[in-house]
Amino acid sequence: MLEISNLKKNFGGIKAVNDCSFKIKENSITALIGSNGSGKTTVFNIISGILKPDSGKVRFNKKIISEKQPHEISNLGFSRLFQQSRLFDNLTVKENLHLALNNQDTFFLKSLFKTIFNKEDNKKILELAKIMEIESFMNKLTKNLSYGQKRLVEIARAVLNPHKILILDEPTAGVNPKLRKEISKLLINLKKRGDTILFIEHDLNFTLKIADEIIVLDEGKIIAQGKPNDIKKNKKVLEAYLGE
Amino acid sequence: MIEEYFIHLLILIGIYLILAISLQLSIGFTGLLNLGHIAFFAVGAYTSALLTLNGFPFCIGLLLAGLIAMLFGFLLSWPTKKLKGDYLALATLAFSFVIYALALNWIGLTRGPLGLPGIPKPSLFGFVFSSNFSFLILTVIIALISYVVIKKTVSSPFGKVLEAVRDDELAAKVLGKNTFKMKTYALGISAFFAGIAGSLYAHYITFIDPSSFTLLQLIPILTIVIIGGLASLRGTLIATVIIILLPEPLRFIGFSSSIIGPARQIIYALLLLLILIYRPKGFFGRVNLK
Repeated sequence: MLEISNLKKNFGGIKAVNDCSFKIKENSITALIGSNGSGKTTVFNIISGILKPDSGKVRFNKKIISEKQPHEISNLGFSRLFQQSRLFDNLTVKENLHLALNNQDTFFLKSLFKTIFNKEDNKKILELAKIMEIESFMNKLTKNLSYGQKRLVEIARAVLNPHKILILDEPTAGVNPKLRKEISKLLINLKKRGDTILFIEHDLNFTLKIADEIIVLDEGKIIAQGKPNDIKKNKKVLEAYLGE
Repeated sequence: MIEEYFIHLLILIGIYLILAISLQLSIGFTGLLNLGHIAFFAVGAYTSALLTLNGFPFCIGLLLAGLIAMLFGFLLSWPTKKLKGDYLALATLAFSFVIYALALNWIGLTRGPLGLPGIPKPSLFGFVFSSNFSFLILTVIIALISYVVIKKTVSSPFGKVLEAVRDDELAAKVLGKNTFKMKTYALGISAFFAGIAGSLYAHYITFIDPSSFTLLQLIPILTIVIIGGLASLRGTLIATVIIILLPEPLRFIGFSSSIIGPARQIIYALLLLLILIYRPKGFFGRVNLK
């Protein structure tokens, strides 16, 4: 479904991504792990179209997408969660979620005669809000939320954004253990629904529990790739990532 | 006499309101620090004046004033599409200097510094808005329509996307929004209404020259937007009334007109400074100045 081949990206003299190649199967959960600065987020930024690779290609359903703009890539079926909060601060939680749902709202004249929240959208938003436990602050401006609350809204926004593949950068960072369980349940359910998920995570227990496949990056290179049980025992991974 | 004076002030409030709410659309709602607004005002004024002076009816002049200003808005969005904040402000400011230079030097079209005198009073369906009172009614109707359209725009799903672009353009892109298209629309719509205001101004004063469209003329409009509060149409309305009326008492103190002009600029600058220091969000602003 998603194929990354010979991806390279340098920042000045630093090789952030160095000849990276991997494939993501449809309807699977893949984790991208590695120490800080290993190039995980850079790979995500290239897949999302935010950064252009120096060389190499990203293919989605066999078509090259690495030359496309971020909004075009998103409309092909990519939904992205960022590591840092990127909510629309001066809009409410509900408005933030609504913006993820509909891409017809960019037609000026048509949009003038639409209401912001139609019944169908409201239903979808409320269903997810209950699962994510965010329904009590739906009308709050997102700039007034706590870090944890913001994170939950962002995950909900990424899930609501129509997608075929979810790209999540540290979905459980700063989230309490109870909600971490809920998020893992949500991701497994999304997979059952047919979604494909690629995520970055530092919580190894969470990763081992839900991932079908794990890719380990170190200094921009893939040092290991395989099933969670194999990765756990891999010497290179133990050395480079876990420091054992 | 005093009635005429108040009618004159109300007409100015109407024209400035259209200018300020349209600027609010690009600055407050879309986050585009556009200092080229006065150029769209100029394009509208010259378009409408030239058309009506050449025998076209007022309604055509008014409509084309908006549409041609809008076209300039679309054109301006191309070279500035990757610019943000101060850089965008400088580029749009340069655009206003270009339009000013054109108005001053394209003598064959604009008569340069001599300006365009004798711009006819507007007429619609045989009715000539020759008295100031009838012109006030026309201004109020057009200002009201402009206010309603902009209010509807910012409250629609389209308007929410504009606000998303203002708050975090990259996040909006990653949600599938074509932010360049959105910014182009915002600048175009904003320019359209500035052009309409320019047409009204030209037909009210009946004389325009390049000096009516300099940076000095932009300052009160920008002051209104900031004092009213970013992303607040209600605040913009109140600030327009205050900014237009505030320097007026100077006339009754007995200052000569050569003092009133500079004194007005001082008052605007002082007010702007005080607001920026003590109430950076303005009266009803929802968004902080970045």
